[in-house]
Amino acid sequence: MLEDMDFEFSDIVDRNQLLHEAISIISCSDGFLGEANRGTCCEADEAVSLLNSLREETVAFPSVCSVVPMTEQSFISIGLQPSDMLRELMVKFNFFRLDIPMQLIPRCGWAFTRLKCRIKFCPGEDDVRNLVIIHDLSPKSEWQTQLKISSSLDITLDASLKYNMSITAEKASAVACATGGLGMVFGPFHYGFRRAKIRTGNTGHQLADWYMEGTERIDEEMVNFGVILRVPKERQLPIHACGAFEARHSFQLFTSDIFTELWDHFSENVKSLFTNGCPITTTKEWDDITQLSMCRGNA
Amino acid sequence: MNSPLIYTLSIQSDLRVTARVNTLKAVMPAQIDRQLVDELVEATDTALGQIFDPLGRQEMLRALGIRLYELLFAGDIRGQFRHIVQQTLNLRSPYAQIHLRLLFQDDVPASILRLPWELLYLPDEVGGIRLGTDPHFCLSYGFVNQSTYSLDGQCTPDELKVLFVHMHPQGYGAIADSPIRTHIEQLSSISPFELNSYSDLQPVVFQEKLEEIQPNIVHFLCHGELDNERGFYLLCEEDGSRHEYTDDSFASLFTKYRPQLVILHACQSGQVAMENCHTGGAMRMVHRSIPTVIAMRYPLQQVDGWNFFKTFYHVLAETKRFDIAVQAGRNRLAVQDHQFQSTGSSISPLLWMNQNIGWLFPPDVNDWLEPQLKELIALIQPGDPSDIISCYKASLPKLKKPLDEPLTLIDMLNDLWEREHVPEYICQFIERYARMVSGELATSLRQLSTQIANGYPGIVNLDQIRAELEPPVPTSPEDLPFLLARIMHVERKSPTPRIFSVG
Repeated sequence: MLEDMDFEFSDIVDRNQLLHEAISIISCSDGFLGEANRGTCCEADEAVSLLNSLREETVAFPSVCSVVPMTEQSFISIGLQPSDMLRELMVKFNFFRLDIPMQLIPRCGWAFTRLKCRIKFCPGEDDVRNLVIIHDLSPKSEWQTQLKISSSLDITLDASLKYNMSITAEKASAVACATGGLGMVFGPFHYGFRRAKIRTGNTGHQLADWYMEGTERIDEEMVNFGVILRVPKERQLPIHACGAFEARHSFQLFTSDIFTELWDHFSENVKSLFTNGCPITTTKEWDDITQLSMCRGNA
Repeated sequence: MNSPLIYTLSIQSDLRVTARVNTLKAVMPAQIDRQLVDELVEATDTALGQIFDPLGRQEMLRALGIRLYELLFAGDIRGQFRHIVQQTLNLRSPYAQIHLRLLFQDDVPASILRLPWELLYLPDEVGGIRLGTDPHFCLSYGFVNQSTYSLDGQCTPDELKVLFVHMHPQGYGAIADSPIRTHIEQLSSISPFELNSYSDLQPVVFQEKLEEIQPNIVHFLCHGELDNERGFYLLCEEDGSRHEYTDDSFASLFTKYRPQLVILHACQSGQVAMENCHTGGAMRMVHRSIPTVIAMRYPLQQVDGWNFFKTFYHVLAETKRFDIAVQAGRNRLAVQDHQFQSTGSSISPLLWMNQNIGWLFPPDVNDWLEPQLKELIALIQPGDPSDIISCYKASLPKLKKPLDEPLTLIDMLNDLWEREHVPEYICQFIERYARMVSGELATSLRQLSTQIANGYPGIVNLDQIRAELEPPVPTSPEDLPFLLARIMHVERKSPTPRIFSVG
């Protein structure tokens, strides 16, 4: 199914195997081919320790996404009215707010700097009338300017169920859903990548696409991707979705002498692993991402 | 100006040394002082005890190298060698590279073989050069009577199979094999390297793989050690546990199939046992008639092994020469020794070869021959077979295997080529024959030898050959029955690639 998504992972076949290969080269480098045992080389030990900790890193999609049906009643309950356009769409579509909190466990003290995520809804389906449509995505490219001056965002949904953002004064890590002001407010949410570049694409279709690059480190253990989904009311099928995610580190951290000295001895795959920021990837398929059968009653 | 000169020092069992430049007759015998040998063996052991101490290591190795030089280049040999080196370094000589060959007589004392000749150092007044690592030199060893026949795994330009076997017994220091694999794999894009890599092969299976794959190069990576009596390699039992395999048992695995090169990538695989000069990993292989052996005289850090072989394989792919590749590998380690203050492993790798020049495979001389000359060769028919056979025999320093029907000039050229890979002998043969005929044929033959000599400048020095042939070599009629008898009873083992062809 991932082939349909046109998701280009870095050419890293087996990250742990490649890290093992690098560890083997570094730890053997000062060993002898005879009776003499390996000497003590602090730098090699540190490098091995670093690579071992990389093997313990994980990234994961949530097994179950947070799904909130967005109905007219949701607006009324907080004293708001949906926009005319949204009210018109609500005749034919159910709306869902999907929160996809990615679980990131980077090596302690060495966070990820680049994230790439792609989620495809209803892959392989060709019944156009029953296809779900991505109504909006969060975070989005337009927020980049604000992220240059702040790393914390208040994310809100407006009357047309579009994501908006404003800058928060203080950091906060809680992901919350609260009410206030002129619209629903989600957050404040601390994204943790100041001056980040964000590219988002493909609203209006079935493919959600994010690319984030932080000049400062992404040291959050959670990064939230938000999707507002438009689901035709006559759709009976569960919404199948599949996702692919890749996180990378900054290569500059691999500039120690031991790596320089041994660089020529790493295979091209290991070199590629390091020069590409030691990417770690994960994929996930959800048979029923909105748990539609459960939510339909609420909608 | 990239032409080598072969400077051969032959060391006899009585420690007499003779020097020879290319094929010129040995001159200036000198005597090695036996007492000095013993002192140097002791000094070497002391020095090696301090080799891991970066402070003063270079100076210590240099001092040892100078003492080795003074020991080996005794008497008039020293003056002659200095002159050649100075000419080479000053580019006054057509030889840009000097191949230094140390040829040992079979029963030379073990102490001579144990000395680290790779450390040979020309004193500063001559240039301050380490002969084992300087790119102007190639240092290799051989035995005076080392046999050359029964070679199975001769490389060809289209095929170069490498059998890479690595051993990882449990409970012993880990060995990383991936750097070697990576280097060889990378070369497959520029050279016909075909890598066959296996880990933890049982000896019997290893022997089966040898016969099945028929590699040209066997690269054996494992832990090794040498006690006073014999060498050991650490192999794996079926359950992964360590199995000490003696060097003679290991060498016996090569009785059915002999590749062109065996690399013993293990500590002390190149060292000779204290009491017996015929023991030790490399010695065992040499005496099993493996034509080329690379081994490690001393303990070798793994990273140094990777660096050495990365350079070795790369230069081998480029130059198709074992000797140049080994020297380049040692040079890299020497440079790193200064740069990283590493363990001085550059004194470890050594090269045993049974021929003067370490060709990976003979270059195709046809590339150099002008078309008209090829046509002329086709027309040459010896008037009297006895003449050409006599020339043929005289051109070889020693008949090392039976003649293979060399009844025509072309056959003999091919046979010479296959036999020695040294075009010098071919030129000698042609020049001899040219002296026995006259007219256009003689002129054509001289043109042919000039063509070949131009392809191997430095190796083939026609002026020297012609000088040696003065006066003309007489044909010895009594040799003919013996030669013809051998021709009649020869059995060719396998089809021979024909280097010289017509049309």
